[in-house]
Amino acid sequence: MVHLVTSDNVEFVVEKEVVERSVLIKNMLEDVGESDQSIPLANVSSAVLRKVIEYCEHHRGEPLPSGDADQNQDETRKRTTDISEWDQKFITVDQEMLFEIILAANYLDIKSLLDVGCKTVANMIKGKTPDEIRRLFNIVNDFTPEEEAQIKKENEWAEDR
Amino acid sequence: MGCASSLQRPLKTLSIRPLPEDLQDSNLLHLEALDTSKTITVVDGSLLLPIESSLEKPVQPLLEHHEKSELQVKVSNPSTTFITQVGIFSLPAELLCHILLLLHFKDLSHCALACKTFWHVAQNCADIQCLFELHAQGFTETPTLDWVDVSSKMYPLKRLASMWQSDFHLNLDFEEIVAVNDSDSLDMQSVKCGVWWMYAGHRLFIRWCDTNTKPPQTWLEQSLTANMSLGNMRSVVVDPLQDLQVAVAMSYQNPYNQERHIFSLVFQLASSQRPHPDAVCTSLKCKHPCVVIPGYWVTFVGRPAICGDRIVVVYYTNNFSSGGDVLESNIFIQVIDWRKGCAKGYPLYELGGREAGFHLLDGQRIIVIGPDGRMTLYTLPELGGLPQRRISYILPNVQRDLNFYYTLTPVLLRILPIYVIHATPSFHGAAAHPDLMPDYVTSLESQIMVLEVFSRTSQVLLVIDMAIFSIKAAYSDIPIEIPWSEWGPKYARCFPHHPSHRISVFGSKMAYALPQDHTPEPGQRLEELPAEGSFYVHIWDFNKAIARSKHSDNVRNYNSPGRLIRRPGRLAQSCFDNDDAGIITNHPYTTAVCPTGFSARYFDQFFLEQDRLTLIWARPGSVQIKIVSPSPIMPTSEVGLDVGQGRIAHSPEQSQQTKQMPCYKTNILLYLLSKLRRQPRHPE
Repeated sequence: MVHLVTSDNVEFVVEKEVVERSVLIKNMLEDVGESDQSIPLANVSSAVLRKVIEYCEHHRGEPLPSGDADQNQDETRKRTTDISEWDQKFITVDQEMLFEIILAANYLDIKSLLDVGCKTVANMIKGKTPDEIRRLFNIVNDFTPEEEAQIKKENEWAEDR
Repeated sequence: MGCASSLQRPLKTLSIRPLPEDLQDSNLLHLEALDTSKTITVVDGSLLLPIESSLEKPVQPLLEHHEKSELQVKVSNPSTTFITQVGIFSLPAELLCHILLLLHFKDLSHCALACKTFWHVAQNCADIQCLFELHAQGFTETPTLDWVDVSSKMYPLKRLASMWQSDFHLNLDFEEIVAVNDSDSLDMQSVKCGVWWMYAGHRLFIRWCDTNTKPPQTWLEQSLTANMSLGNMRSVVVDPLQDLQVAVAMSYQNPYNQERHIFSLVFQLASSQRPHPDAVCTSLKCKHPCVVIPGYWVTFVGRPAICGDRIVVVYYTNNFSSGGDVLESNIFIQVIDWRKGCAKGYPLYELGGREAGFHLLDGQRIIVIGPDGRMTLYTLPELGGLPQRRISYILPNVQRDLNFYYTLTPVLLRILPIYVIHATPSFHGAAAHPDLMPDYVTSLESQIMVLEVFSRTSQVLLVIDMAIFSIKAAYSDIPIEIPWSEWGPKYARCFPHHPSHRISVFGSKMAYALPQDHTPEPGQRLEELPAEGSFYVHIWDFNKAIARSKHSDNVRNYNSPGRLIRRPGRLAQSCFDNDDAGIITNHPYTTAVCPTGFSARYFDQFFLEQDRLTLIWARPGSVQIKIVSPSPIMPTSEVGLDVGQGRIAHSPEQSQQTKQMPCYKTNILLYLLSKLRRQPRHPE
């Protein structure tokens, strides 16, 4: 069992097999060796870690895409990048949680979860106008009208294709 | 912008205390913020509420070991809520970059327009810039490969984009000799997706020439005489992508009856000659849309065209007039859905004749060139709807040789000029062999169509920008006619030509077989290909991205040495009327040539594809097929300098790696690079 402590000081006790989906933790365990000492995860809150562990539990036993295992990746990376049904359901969370999960997956180095997160964001953007994208992510159009006109002009040929 | 670390710990300003006992509900948690100017956000949920004094929120059952933990909340100032909240820009640039690369091009450009942060991410990512550049050059994703991992596509894409751009060597990838009868006509052959097929002497020859793919099956030549019972086989076309072979057989039945059945189509698997499993019926009778005149015969315009579920057969009928002249009917079109097994015929406006031609753009759009010298775009609505004439472009007037005029009957005179269309095949449709699908195809707007105009006086080539047939043009409600003087200067280029100079078109590029190993001067008319000796493969690229760059005329582009930018020159003589011939385009194009010649003896034709060229020699009794692919010529003196600056096309791997390095500083670097090393198109 591995002890993880989140940024908000909540301790999680997780099976080694489950938590080793995170390359960061896996490497850490290899370096430190078996010990009861808890691993501090300063960048991950307990709410996010709970989701991450849920993901790792579900994908327990699936082959790990390791650094040099290109063959392994071939298998998991099908030609379509659709998100599996379970993952889809899993990732149906509010935006803030989604980005937190992506950040956590990036920090913990869980490639498959990072992929699911990034694809979900990409799916959200798909088919939207710049204005709809701003509304979606609550971002402000910080271009001056002149800048916007210039960029629009440069991108003109991209439309209708 | 906010990030995860700005998330505040539960503060002391917040107290959680039980409600009075009579109001207690185990599913509700009572929160109270002492500082009423703050906002409480429940971290695990979607609640973000300005708090006056308290908040009641349903609590989701927590995991057992969290029994003791409190609900995580963060308290923030309402005015700065959006900053402290984790949002899209909490993600580091390399993750944003990764997300943008997952997008379709249009979505990507919309994102870049949304705000400066996205814009800068897009500007600073080499891969995204490369995507923009590829798109500007007219590469778009093929429909079935929608959503394929972009990063894994970058390597072959960069390779493709640099291919044929500067002078090149051609390496032999495949060679085979196929025995045929001397008497067979070899007109009916084509190459699509690396599969060469030929129908000659009632036999169908198919060769899987894609050297990158291991053939999933061997396609041997088939004798189609077994099908003779259907009638007189007139034409066979093959779509390797759908493993479909369509044979057109003339009807033996009497067409004067009510049925008006004039020919049949037979759908088979090209690989095995068995009935195609996707087709409802193996053969389909096509009915003429109107009463046929006794003594008529049918002439086909070109070959049937296949695009996805659609097959289009264009034909006209002939009969003798009372004076003994041959009369030609209007052109008819049969629109067939081969999967559903239905066909419907319609008359078009154009008269028939040898000079007619057509090109099927996709399932809905067809371009028909009539003998009166106009190119018309028709849209084909769903089955049962009449083809709609949308827009006609008048071709320049061809000079009539007056002396010749009086020696011919009007009907024979109309045989000249002849327009021969060269265009890119369509890749639409469900692919039975998705592995054959090219990774990227050029979008219609960036494609060219080449018209060989053969007349009695002098031959010319018209290179036409396909943008004139874009979606917008397809939906003008009233048919419009555009005179040559209006569209010619913008969208067409004119070159002197000789019928012996073979042509093949793919995307924005044209392969041109010329008798000399250097690019002809603008407007220069070349000799015909010698019967003995050599010809040279030239690639002319009419990509619009070139027109946007500010290069001067006829100079070598230093970005890719060996690439020559030219502008069409004035033709000393052309077959067009003086008024029309004066209208020429000055849009630049690039030329490249393979300095090694090929034997012109028995050379029949060639077929250009995105990364290869299939050359056919028709020797007596045999057909020789050679597939060659280009490799750049490296001018040794300039290599060091240009690679260092990372802007050369010689070694895509090297420049690609150097460009990418700054982009992925974190672990995602290894992740993406490992993807790039993979050959995505043909996994082992």
